[in-house]
Amino acid sequence: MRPPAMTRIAFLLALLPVFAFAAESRDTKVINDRTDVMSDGRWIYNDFPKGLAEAQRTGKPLLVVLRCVP
Amino acid sequence: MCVRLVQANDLDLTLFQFDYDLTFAAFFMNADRTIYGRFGSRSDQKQAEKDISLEGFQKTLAAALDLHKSYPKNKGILAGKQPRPVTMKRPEEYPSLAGKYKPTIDYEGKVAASCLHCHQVREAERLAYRSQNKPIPDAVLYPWPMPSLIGLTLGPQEKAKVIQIAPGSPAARAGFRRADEILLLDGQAIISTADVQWVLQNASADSLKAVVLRGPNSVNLEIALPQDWRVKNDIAWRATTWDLRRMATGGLVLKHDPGTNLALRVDYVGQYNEHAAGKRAGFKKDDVIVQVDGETRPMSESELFRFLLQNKFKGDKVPITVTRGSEKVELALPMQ
Repeated sequence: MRPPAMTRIAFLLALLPVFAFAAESRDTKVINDRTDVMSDGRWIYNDFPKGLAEAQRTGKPLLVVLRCVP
Repeated sequence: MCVRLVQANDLDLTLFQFDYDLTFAAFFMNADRTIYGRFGSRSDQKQAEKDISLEGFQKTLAAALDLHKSYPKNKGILAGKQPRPVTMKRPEEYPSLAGKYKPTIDYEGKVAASCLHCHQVREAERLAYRSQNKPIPDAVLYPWPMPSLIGLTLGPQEKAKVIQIAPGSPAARAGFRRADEILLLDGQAIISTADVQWVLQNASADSLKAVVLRGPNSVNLEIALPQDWRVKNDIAWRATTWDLRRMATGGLVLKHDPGTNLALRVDYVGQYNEHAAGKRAGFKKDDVIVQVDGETRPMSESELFRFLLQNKFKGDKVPITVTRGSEKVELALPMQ
């Protein structure tokens, strides 16, 4: 099972960009969200087929977060 | 595998069926697309913490991983959690969205404007009914009922643990007690409030069987659903309600004054385009609606939507009586 700390990090990463860039324009928020989450390396960004293929390859379950950024 | 989706453009609606008014929702699933559970609930525009928390998400995630460990032996208790047949497989198949969005966000151009928002899916679904002069069904008007609708308040820090039961409610009559943990509802494994909402969203019978963990024991309960239980769902907080106001009240935002007769106070008058239809019809802030097409029974704004959107159609003009100070004024509200 994934350690609780990792779970918390995953959840915070899912939420963080919206709070962190609240003062930025909507376009900038969306662009920064992609940059930040992709650079983290733990998330497959906006590509469900890729995530599904990876899950099938590794046998791991999927967590899919739908997050409205702007 | 963690996947983050930030758009509803080209979203697979045969799989991702959730409360489209949410700005945060999560799915836990197997690589064969079997859904273990959903997370993400809301009943207030501003206070998200009323319904979800980091702790609750953590417990739901742990429970989803437990379901994964037991899969596929547990397919029976997952069967009801799977997506239902849909009319449109992608949002862009709805007429009101067709041809307006590309499959992905345009990161090199108009970034935010190119994003198809989740709430637009719900709006498009309602528009499909409205544009064909068909009544909008209850399940579409009142989506994703919260457990409070049957009298249950679940702890936001828990998976699906009861922290309060409304006296006299269906849950109270079924015998729920505080600290009961819902294990199964309608035969489905429950790991979140959103899972309970999924069961309620799809409930078609007049009762639901539940299994709860009470202390060391599991207890079987049966919830009788009253007629029109879904209609008590307050949808005022939802982003998609904005478009319902355009259709039904011409942009008026109404507040319910409790009492034995209809009393809906005009709290806001829309100012622009179709949201100004109420204004053009003569409605003013603080008018109190006391009669709608002959109806004087008490209704919330949400219940008025149902009355109008299931009985009146585009082009109709609905006679409405308001009180304005000490005088009564007769107005005609155009349906859109």
